[in-house]
Amino acid sequence: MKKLLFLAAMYLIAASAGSFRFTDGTGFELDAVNKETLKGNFFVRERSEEKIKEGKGVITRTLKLSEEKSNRADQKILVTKDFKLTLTLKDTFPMTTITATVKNLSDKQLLLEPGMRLSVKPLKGDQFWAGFDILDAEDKELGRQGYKGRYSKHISGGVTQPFPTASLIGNGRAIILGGRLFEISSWDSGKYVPRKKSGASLYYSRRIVVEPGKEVTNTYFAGSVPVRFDVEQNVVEAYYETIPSDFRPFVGKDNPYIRGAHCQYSTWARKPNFEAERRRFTTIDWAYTPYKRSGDSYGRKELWDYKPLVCDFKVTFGQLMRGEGMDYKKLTWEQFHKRRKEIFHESARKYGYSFYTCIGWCEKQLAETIYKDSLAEDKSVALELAPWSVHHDRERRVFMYGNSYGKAFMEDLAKLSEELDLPGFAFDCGAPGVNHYGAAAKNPEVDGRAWDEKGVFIDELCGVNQIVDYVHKLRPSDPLYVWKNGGGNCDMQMIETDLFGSVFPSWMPHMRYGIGQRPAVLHVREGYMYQETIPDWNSLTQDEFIQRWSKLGDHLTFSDFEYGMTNSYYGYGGNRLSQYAMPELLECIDLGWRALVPVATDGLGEDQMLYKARYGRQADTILFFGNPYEKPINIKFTVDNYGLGGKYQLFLPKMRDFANMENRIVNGDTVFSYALPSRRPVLFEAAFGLDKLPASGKLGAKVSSKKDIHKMTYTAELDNDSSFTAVVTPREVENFTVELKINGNTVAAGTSVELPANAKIEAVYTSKLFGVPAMRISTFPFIGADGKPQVAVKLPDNPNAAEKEIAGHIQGYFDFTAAHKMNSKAALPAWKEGMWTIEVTVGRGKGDRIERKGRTIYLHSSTDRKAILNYKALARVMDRRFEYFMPFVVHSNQTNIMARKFDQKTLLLPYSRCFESAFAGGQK
Amino acid sequence: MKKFNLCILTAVSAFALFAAPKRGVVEYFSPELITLTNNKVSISIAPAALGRVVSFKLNETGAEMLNPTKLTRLWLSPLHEIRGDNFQGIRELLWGGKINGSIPMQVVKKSDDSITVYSKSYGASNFEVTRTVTLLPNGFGFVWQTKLTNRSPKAEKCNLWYNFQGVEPALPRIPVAGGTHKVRGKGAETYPRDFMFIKGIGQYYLPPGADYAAFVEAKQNAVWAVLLPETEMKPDGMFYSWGNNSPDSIRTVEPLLKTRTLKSGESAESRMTMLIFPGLTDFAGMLKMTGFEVKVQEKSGFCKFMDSIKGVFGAETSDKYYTLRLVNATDAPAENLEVELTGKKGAKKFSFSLGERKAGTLLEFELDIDGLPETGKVTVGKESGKLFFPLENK
Repeated sequence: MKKLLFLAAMYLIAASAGSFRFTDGTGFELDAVNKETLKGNFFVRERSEEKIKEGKGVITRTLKLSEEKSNRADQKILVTKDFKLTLTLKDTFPMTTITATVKNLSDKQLLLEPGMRLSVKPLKGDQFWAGFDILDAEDKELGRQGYKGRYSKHISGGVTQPFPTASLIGNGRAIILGGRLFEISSWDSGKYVPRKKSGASLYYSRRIVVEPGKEVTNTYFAGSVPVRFDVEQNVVEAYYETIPSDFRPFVGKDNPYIRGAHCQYSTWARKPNFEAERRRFTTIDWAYTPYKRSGDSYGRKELWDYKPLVCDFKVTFGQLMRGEGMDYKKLTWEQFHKRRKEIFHESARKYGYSFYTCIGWCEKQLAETIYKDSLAEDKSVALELAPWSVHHDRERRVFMYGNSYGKAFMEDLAKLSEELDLPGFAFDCGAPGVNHYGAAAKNPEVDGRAWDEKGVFIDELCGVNQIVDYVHKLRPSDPLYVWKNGGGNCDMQMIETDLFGSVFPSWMPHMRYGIGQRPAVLHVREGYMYQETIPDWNSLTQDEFIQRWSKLGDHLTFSDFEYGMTNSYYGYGGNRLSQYAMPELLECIDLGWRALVPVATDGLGEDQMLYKARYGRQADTILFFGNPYEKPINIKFTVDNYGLGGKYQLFLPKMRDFANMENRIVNGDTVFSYALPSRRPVLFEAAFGLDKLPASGKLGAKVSSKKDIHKMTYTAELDNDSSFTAVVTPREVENFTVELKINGNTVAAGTSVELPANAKIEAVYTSKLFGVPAMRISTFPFIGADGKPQVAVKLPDNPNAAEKEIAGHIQGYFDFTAAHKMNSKAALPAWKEGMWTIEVTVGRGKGDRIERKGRTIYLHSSTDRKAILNYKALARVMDRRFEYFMPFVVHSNQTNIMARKFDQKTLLLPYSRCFESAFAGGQK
Repeated sequence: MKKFNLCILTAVSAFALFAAPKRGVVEYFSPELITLTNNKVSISIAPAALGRVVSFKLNETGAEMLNPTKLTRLWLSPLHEIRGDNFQGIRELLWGGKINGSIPMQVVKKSDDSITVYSKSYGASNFEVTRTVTLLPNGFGFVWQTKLTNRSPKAEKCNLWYNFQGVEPALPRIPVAGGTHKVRGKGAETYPRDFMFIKGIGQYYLPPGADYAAFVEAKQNAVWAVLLPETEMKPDGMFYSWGNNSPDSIRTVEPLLKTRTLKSGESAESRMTMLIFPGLTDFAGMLKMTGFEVKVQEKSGFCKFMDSIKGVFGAETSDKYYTLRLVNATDAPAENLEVELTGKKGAKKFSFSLGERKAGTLLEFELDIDGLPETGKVTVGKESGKLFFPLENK
């Protein structure tokens, strides 16, 4: 009963998020979701001129602000003789957005700290979050100042940025103040200050530097959201809902390079194999140090000749380009540039070569001579590393924006993107909380500067983010992506830490919050870390080893889903479950990882746990659960629809062929039961979202799906005993058009429709690409009776380069299958009339289409880039016939020894076809 | 022998004595220990955790020299948990190789003052290790002997490596060779003269100026030193030191011994001696089993008064004076001591007659010098050695 009452109370709370309004003077009010009205005020502090005692921090004083009349209800203007602060409200949900613009009216540089204070009434059990640890909100002052991150590694790199908030969380509600995560800013602060008698204040502020006559704008948030599950995840989710574009890739999710796993150098440091990479689902590689000298990314002629400080030039890992050694002892400037250009033109688009730069590090002699004004001086971090990225240089930390090095670096990026036709850049290092007080901090044109007791500074990540913005503007017609190691406002994130190491579990959640709905890849050094995880592997039989390894393999698969990331072949080699689940994983990542999984799971034993995650929102939600135990567990799932962004969702297992499941909506929650199989990922996808329920507030539905590559149908058979009106939203499926039907009659999706008693909702999806079912392709007789490929590729007369390239890939497909004993190796026969044929056209006005008529599979593509994607889509269907799992991969001395001890080719972990009902069964 | 096997079992089972685990929460636990004691020092060994020495302390004061070893378990799910430690304690490491710190070693022999532990695959590596630790009779220290055998089917290169860290705030004292020396992986390093490395930021690769290094254990009123045979540091041994990015952070002393190439099945032996010099507050070097310190002392009020009288007559005076302090880690016979110290104003020589000394006896002699020297030499009997001083003298 208590539980029901709690649910009912939560449902009421969920009806609205907090609302915000200006009051007189500097004041404002926030209505929290628990009906409390909280009072607060805006403030501006300035840096005091008083002398500061060493180690005591900066002294500030709070300024007296007068209100100037504004004729806009959504605006408040506060002034002093030196500046005007204009606060503008934007009606966003669930948090209100407040844009704060400070205009300097004086003739001096102003060092200010605008912020918000909110009086709160903490209750027992409340917690405070300023972006890192969750702390009990009691009688002690709590807080965080600045962006000092949390390291994942020994010396530098891999640093998380604190989430920009001061939030009180607990007792069914969160009260949030905060700012934008990747706003160009160098310092913020979140504090909890208990008052002497009762209550407390939340403070959130940012330090800014405003030059005479100039303006600086920052964004603040204030809001309140209900809390039913988890803790800080509710705050993060409020950010995702309020300002979704901040957490998505700038280049858009259609950018093909950020939609796969990463190669971890397999196409860069070695000669690549397109077919092997396709089967690994890789789309991007970290093209490491494609230059001679650190800090000279382009390779300027005048900087070419120099003597490195660590050792003479030699060809090691840092000098490999597509597996080819660059011998700088011999290469002339002209030869280097010619070869690099050839390599990038031939392979950059094919393998997603992301031009690496060790952003913020420069060869020492170069840094100390021509970029002297750019030298970093923050002694709390490593300033010099040797050997570092290129191995032969001693490298010096520099600031990368607003100074001589920044100017040269940006020129290099522009030249490189143009000359090499790059898909994007890979930025390594660049960490929050490293403060630069040099030339860039003195440059009035540099945005985002802040101040402290030592003077005006700019944060290193703030510099990186401005470089990222610059890269995004370089080629507007075809934006370059930025793939960043560690924090930053990028399109794809690299997580450089080992999944099986001790740092990952504590560090990754903070990292993940900032990544938001961007894709993320894990770049590991040691794969499964066998020496730590199976230290006695040498004394095990192969069966014993596989048994132990399979637990780790399943942990890896579950962790991929849990954190919305892909591993590399270090993790996937031999892991059949991961390889099998890759299409679903990539679909989830593409949909966007979410911080809050608002689902209650009843049925777990005491001390039992599940891996879990959520992707997407509302009708596009996918829920992931992983049962790590040896037996299935029957679970009753209760999904809080408010936590999914609202509406009432109907779910079913996400299967490749068909599925069905019964749902009930109770008190606004969707409730269903399912037996989670042992050690297999389970996904539940929302099929439909309804904005209203019948008057009774209850609804049951049998939800089912039937899928093929060319057509899919989702059906919900409702049990409403009388008609009601609702907007029915079918889930969005990429590359499919949808037709929504109620009791067989087509209705417009997204409009209010009447749902008669026992309504049957159907969403019929038609593929924009495939015109035939998978069976028509997978049963195509590609291989003749002699075991050799008998399919021929037909190209138009005078085929273009893209058509020839696709033909080459088809040959490569059957070379690969031959190498793995699925057929005999042979060149594809030359095409003649009447043969089994794959007809390929690119850019010939036939659109994007894959179909089969008689003896011919047609592969039509509208553009060169679509041609690769369409070919991969076709090949994926062909893979059902020519299935192959990549075995255990050697990537170190130890794995080499292991591969010798066990038969490497047979080192494959057990799996099942858990996303196919025909094999795994549906609802149990 | 049965007794020791039981010991191992108990130690290993310590890993399994957890209550229901909580996901993502690091749990600490203590392994079973075996303690050896003489009349001066005690050492404790954890067979379950690589047989490492986790405690080295003075019996009289209980002062501990080693930063505590913490063994951890991080449970993530029934599929994966992480056993770990804080990388502390004395045990063999392999530079560039991986050693799993959670692997047990078998106790194969034990007496009151000595223990031998063994692992066929030491730390899950390709090397077999037999290690004997023996307390110095009536001395402040112990001898560490390692026999390393390559169990891989091919020849392996290896560098034995130790990462030492004293009890915070332990201050490193690493003698560094002046001049230009190649340091592995770093190119050439040049230093203006021999000096004692005492602090820094980040990581350092230091060419050895001597075959020993030490920590000043500031809170323990002692110096903990490691003495390596000369053959261990030549031709390519070095000292590594790591600390966080702040001058006041923890800092390690890490001798990286010479490169050994062992054929499959081939063995090599290595040895070092761990010593405590009770009463020393700084460290300028050691010779035989004697540790030396040159200490800056504040003059007493009476001395200052006498100086002021001298000052009236134009004599140079100072509030400070200098003493040579020395302590033996083992009993020593009567010997002559000669000390030569060179500073900016030139060299000075001193001679002292040392009587028979008991281990741990602190001797102190006043030195007529007007500032810390830059270099020094000590001769005890027929043996000589260098003294080292920081580059930035106060």
